[in-house]
Amino acid sequence: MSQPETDLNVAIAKADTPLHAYNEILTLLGEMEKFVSINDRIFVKINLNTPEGFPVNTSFALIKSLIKSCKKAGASEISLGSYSSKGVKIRNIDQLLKINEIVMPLGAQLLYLEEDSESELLDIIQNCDKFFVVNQVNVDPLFDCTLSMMNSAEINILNSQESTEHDLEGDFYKKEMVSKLLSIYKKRKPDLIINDLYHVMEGAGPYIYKDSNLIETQLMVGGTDPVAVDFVTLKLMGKNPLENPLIIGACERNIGNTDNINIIGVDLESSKVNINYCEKILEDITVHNCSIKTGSTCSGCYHIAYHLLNIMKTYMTKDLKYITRQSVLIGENPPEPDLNKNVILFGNCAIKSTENSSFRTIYTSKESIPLSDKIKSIFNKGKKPNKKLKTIEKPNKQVLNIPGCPPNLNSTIKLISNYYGKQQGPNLYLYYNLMETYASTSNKKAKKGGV
Amino acid sequence: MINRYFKDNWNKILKFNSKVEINENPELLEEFVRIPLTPIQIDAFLLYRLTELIYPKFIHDQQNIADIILSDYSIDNMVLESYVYETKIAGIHEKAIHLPKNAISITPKNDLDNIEGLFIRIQDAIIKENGIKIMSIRIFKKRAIDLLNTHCENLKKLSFNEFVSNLLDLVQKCIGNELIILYPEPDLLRFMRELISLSQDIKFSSIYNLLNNLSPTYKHAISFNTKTISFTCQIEKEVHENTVEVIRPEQSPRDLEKLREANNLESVISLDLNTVINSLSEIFEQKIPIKMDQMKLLLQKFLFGLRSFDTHWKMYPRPKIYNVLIRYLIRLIGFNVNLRKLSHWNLPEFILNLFNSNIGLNSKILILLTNNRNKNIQNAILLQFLNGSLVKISAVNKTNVIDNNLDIKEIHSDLVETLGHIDFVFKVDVDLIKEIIEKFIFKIYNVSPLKQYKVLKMTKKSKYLEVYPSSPAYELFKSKSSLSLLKLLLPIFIDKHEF
Repeated sequence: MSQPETDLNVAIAKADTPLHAYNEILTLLGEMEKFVSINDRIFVKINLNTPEGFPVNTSFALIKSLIKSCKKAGASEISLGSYSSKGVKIRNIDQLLKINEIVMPLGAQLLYLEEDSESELLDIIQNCDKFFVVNQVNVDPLFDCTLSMMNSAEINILNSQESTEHDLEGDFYKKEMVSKLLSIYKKRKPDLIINDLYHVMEGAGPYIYKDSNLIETQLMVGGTDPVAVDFVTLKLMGKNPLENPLIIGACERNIGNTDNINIIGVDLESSKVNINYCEKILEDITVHNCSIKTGSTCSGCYHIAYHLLNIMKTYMTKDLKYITRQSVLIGENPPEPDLNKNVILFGNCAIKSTENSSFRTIYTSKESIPLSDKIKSIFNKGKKPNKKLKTIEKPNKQVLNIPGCPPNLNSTIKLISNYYGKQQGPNLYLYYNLMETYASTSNKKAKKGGV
Repeated sequence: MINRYFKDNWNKILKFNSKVEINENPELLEEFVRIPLTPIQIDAFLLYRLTELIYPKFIHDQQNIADIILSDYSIDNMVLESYVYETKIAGIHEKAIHLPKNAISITPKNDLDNIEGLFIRIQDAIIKENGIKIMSIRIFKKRAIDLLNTHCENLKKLSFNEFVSNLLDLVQKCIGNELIILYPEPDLLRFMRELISLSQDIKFSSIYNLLNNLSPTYKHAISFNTKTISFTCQIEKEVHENTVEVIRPEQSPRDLEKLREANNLESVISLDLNTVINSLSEIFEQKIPIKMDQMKLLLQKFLFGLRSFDTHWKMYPRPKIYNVLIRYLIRLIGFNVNLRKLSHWNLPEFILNLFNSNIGLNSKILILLTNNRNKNIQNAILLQFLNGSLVKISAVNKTNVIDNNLDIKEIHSDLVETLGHIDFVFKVDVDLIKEIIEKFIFKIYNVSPLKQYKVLKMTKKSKYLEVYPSSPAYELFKSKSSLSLLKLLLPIFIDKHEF
């Protein structure tokens, strides 16, 4: 689909503060008045993933500036909306972070996009006059970084839905996710997209983990075409955009165009930044006293296992010292664990493909006297009974099965916490309690789903 | 040029130092001097020994120093006075050689920008003239000397608290405005300069006064020991005044119980001086803002020191919490409170990771110190974090809202206009801080699990501690009862077994 040339203007701004960079983006694109008409009703899609601090969510300072400039341009109604990625209701996040109390005095309100959210979001964006996306860019294990197109639908890592088809070759999890993410853009494309990469979380992300590191790039990217904006963002971050599944998917669906992009503002080549991306190989995530073995892993299991291993690394230092040794087996046909104790089988593939593995059974030998020999020895006291060595086969009880493809992260943490108990895993137990505090509603949902 | 009160004392120190080497038993010389810039009297030989120990660690470990006093104005040769000290032991000043007026020249342009080049030039000039190879220079601007003189003039008139406040202000002015330059620059000076720039407009003296107001009345002693030195610092706070007395080595028995009884003290703490010096030296080596990994390491070391009761530090009376019988009884009801097994290796990492995920890697936090009794806010401090490191501390000017309103939500929305977006506001009452300082620092020997529980209960009341907006960790803290919170946290704070 050919786009009008003006749609492919992508602005790159570099400034000494995030707000200066935002103002520079607006200046380059033609001020807010170009995007907002008098009495427009505006919907702004932001990142509000978890009740955690920056940069997990979009910067509130940036949101406030955007609201002010929309109001100044004459907008009558401004609504903000998001999905949480850890299955927490937006209402709960708002109760904690008091977002409405911050934005309401400025003339905006946060919508609670909860159950049946996709159709609700579709209604909102089809009925609003202008649709903006303000996206915080961080590293992401599946799509390299959190692009603006990932902002359109819910990626719930805590209560992830199982993939409808199970075929490692097909990698349906990623394909389903791409399709889900792009479905809204097929109906309506945003009128303004801002990718905020002024501060980017690198190393481990998009949530704050032990290996997370924040770097200041001083850059912001804006435009009116989501594919073009994400394309330029990936280029700035030193990635080949044409290898990104979201960009490929968007081009296939004619959502945007990557040809004839007109870059305005600072030079792209000289502004490129070096970023440490998420570990693509799960074995490379070094968790103390934990051996990670992977077989053929689908993107769904990789995605959730990535978060699980980072949670272990961040919060389970003491627990893993008490536990002394654990093995996490992920994917189809993983290698045998180093030890037969504390083996965590992550996902249906790992459980099924290791059913006949030797670590599943424990062999113990015991000396026993046959009954006939015992009777003989009673009558013939001089004769000693013949002892025979008997091998007993038992299922290994120190194996924890975590079902699902991909497994539900919330249930996984609960299962692991229950398996080790409060005494052996005090840190994980506290972390689980913390999750329960803000995700209690989503837990009920997860229990119904039954993993 | 130098204040007489200071100069007389300094000359006395130099005279004593020069006698030490030729005297068979210098420890028997009963001479007293003042610690420079303070009114505190000290045994001259003890000061000698302390300088010998501390100076090479914190300032410079090589011999021979040149002191240069510079004019504040850009004149052709800015040098007003210059002295050379030939020191046989680093830091032990014996004799000052006054250099002729034009022995060293420093021009306003270039020289102070290239301090290394200047040092080499001065070194060559002094070798040529006096045959002494200096290894460090101390440059004092005239303004610094004026400030030092004013401070010394007032020493006799000031109370102890006023003296400490004055000294802290003097240090802040001299280092913050680069009125004192040392080359090679010691870590201590760099650390102080970075600390001053981090804390912006906050005066060190106001921090001291705040802490002093928050502390209860006390009478303690800290006994410092090494293989060669042993002395005791007696610190006392009465209702309005503090005093510090350095007790001579022979009068400071190593037996803490006797020391306590002899001086009628509340408690006595014994510390290994070398451990204290090494710990401080490690802190001064840090670059400010201190990075997360370094902060974890420092906290680990601090907690390790805290858990090493009876090995790295001693106290009399022994803190009740270390009483085996009390601990055993508490263990019977399911609480393991063994501070010797404090999880020093795990706690800093766990707490900092939890802090980062709850507060964010970049954040602005406003801390309000309230006084519920007077229904007002005493202090407002803004902390700024970048990538998890504290990068700026600033005092917030009180507005009408801050002064007369205790509603945290209104303060948050009011200050947004002037301070930009604030991520969190912490409202802490001074009574809670006083309680923590009294129970856990000054009366630690008397702290019992019941008192710990009482303090925990206090923190759960919004009258004493409130956070706006909330965070998952704070919600969990508020939602659990004090007992279940203890059950949840103690296994994290205390190790199950020694590693």
